[in-house]
Amino acid sequence: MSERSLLSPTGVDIAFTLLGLVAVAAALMVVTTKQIVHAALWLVVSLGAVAGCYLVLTAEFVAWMQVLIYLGAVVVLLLFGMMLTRAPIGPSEELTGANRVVSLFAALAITAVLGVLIVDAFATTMIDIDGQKSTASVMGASLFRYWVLPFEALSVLLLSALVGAIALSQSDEEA
Amino acid sequence: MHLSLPLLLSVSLFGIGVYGLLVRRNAILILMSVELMLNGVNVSLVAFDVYWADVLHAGQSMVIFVITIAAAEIGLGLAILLLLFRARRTIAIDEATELHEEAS
Amino acid sequence: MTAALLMVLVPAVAALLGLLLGGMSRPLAAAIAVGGTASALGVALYLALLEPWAEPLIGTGFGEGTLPLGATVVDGLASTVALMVCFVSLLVQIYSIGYMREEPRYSSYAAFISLFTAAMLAVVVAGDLLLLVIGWEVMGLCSYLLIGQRWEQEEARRAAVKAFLVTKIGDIGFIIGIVVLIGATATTLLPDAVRAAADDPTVATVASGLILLGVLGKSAQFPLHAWLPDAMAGPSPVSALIHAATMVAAGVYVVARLYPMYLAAPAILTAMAVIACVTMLGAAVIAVVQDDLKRVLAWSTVSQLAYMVAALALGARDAAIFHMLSHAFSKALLFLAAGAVIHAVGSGALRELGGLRRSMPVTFITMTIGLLALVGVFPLAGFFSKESVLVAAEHAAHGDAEVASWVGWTVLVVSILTIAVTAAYAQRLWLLTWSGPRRDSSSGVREVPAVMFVPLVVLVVPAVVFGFSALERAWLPTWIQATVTEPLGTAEALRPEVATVVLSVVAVIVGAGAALVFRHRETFARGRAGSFVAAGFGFDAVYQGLVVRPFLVVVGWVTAFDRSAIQRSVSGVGVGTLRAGSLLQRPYRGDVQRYVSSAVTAVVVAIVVMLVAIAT
Repeated sequence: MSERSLLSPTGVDIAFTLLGLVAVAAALMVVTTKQIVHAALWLVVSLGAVAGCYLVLTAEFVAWMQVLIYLGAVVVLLLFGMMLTRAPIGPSEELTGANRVVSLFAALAITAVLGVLIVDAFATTMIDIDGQKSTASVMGASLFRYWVLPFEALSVLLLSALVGAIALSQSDEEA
Repeated sequence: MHLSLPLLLSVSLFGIGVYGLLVRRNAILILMSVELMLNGVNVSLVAFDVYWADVLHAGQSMVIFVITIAAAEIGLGLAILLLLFRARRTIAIDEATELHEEAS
Repeated sequence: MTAALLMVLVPAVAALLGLLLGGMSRPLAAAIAVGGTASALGVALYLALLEPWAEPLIGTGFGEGTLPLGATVVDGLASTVALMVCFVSLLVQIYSIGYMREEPRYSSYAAFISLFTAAMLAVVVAGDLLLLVIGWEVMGLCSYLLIGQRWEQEEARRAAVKAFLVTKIGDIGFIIGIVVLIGATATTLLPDAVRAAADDPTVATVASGLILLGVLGKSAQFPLHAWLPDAMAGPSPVSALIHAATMVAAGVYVVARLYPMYLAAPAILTAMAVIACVTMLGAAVIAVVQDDLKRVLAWSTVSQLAYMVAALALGARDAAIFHMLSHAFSKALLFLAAGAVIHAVGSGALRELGGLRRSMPVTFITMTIGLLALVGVFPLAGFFSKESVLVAAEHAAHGDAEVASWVGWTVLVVSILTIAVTAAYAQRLWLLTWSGPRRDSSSGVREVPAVMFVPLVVLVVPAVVFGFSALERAWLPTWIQATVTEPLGTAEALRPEVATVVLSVVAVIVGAGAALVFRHRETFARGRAGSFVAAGFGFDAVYQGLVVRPFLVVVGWVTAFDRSAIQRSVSGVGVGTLRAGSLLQRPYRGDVQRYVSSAVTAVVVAIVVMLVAIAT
């Protein structure tokens, strides 16, 4: 594995960069769009691109989980939330708050700091993705062989979160 | 491939999420921003997992867990938002300021 | 555990038991108190029979090496004084059973007397300067508690506080002196420290001067004498104990105990002699115009203690201890007799007494003997002991002492004058109490019960015969030798000399005659001068002006400073914190996103700082 600069990309690099650019661009639309429903749709695009990135990184199972849970469940849940809270259809100036400059500064600062840190630390580090394939069977073996205890604990957490969500959503008249 | 590419993607998503978290008024959009931040973290977890060629696949298992928790968080968060909406017919986050103490 | 320590601990344990169990029944409290004191007397007798003057008994105490707390030294001096202390304390305890019959707090009273005895015994047998200080301070505490026994009375409370504070002024000097002594000699063992200090005039002068302050307080010498007359607010047996066995004797005893050190400090001895002269004559004059039975006796004690201090100043330790012992017997007798009179009549005011001769014959006879012994009439104990002091003064006047001969002359002249005044107030007291129109039986005054007059009769014996014991060198003069610090063999018989005997007899006759001549003119209507003298030459007023007023002013300053500066700064801290808090609170308006911005910025700053720190 030879060291190469960022300016001499391979095919994998190019594929990942393109998907990444889509993800970042869509994410930017999520936080800047003036239509709340569009934000949810841009989120689908962004998370989908991230799922593609996972595929490039050979993390197959995670990629499908991302598609199933995020693109399927979470975004639908968010859309339901919008409907239930009478979200305005069409452009709205009220989606963004007043302290835009402060927010921009904070976000840029943390991005810059983390980015500089990463470039400084890993500028020449290469990933060898040949021969790696985290399929469902590989991940299943790993999860249920080594991580079964946190997995079970998490399942209980998920259950209690669901129960909690139901309990919270019950209207007062029924209680 | 370069390790820095997925890491830069990770940082970008995280930073955009932070911006959305800070600037958005609508609580559902804030939840979306949180999802973006979580995805940023997930990307770096997967990248490092692949980089180490981890036999236990700790990074990817952790991503599974994070996705699970994110689902739970969205479920609970939306339930709370519904209650908030029922109580005051809006979910603008900067109008929910009752818990601050009056300056003496 | 040495026998000496046992002698201290037995009454101390009796005090503890008396406090714990004495409340259950009066007979039990009395039994514990009398039993404890009697046991101590038994141990004291045992110690005396070991002839400690020939071979001192040294107890090493508990902590070996660096801090031997509880070391004891019993030589002739300690053993004889301890014997006297136990004897008088026992009689006081027995007498108190009768005197305090109506007292609701008898059990604590008896326990405190036991503790008082224990503390005095600790001072007496202390071979260790720390034990000495402990005993000394516990005595101060006990005097406070006992003088304030009847704390329902305003007078008693004031007297207790006054006694405590005035003696405490001296005790500050005493403790500093002991610290100086320990520091300079690098030992807490009393004999070693005294021997080392005696070789170093500077240490001897500083330490003995400071310790003298404590002695002046405890032995009620000018200018720390003011507490003793007021201490009459305590019950009469307590007065007997304080004036004879414990409190006042402790001061004189400590000087005698540390005597080689004092002999090495002639300046201090001269100061002691001057103080003694002032106190001696002044207190006697004050005693003449008092209108209360016990106050006369109190001022008389102050005056007699000055004799002892004078003898100590003139290098006559044996004479001082001799006078202390004989005075202890006569003064205990007088106070117990006065207590009997007060018990029978219900008042100690001289104008309400008189004509009691028939109704209280035993008290009459014993008190007369006590007064004669006090004045120093041959052949009673006071005669011999006072003559021994006069002889010492005469020797000092001829240059046989550490101090200059003018000091000896002064003491001699003042002593003779004081004898005349003593005779006068004793005569007056006797006349006012016993003579005059006979009281009819309807007044209800009758002789006190046996439990009270038996101690009086017992005390008459030493008051009468004790004086003869000093005539032979092998008797008392040997028994009171401080063989721990000085070699045996310096003892000399304390015999009167013709010149001083003649002078003192003349003085007695003049004083008593004057009292007889002026008996109809004086006392009941006192002039302004008389009132001034009766108030202790206005000394309390001087105290008020010189000490109390300035002190109150300073206290006012301190209080003002406390209010304006300290209290304000303390509350200022609170107010300042609140203000700063509300200032910091201002950005927190419930805007969650602003909070998160701050948090993110803080994280960024933290990361940058860490990176810079790592890079450099």
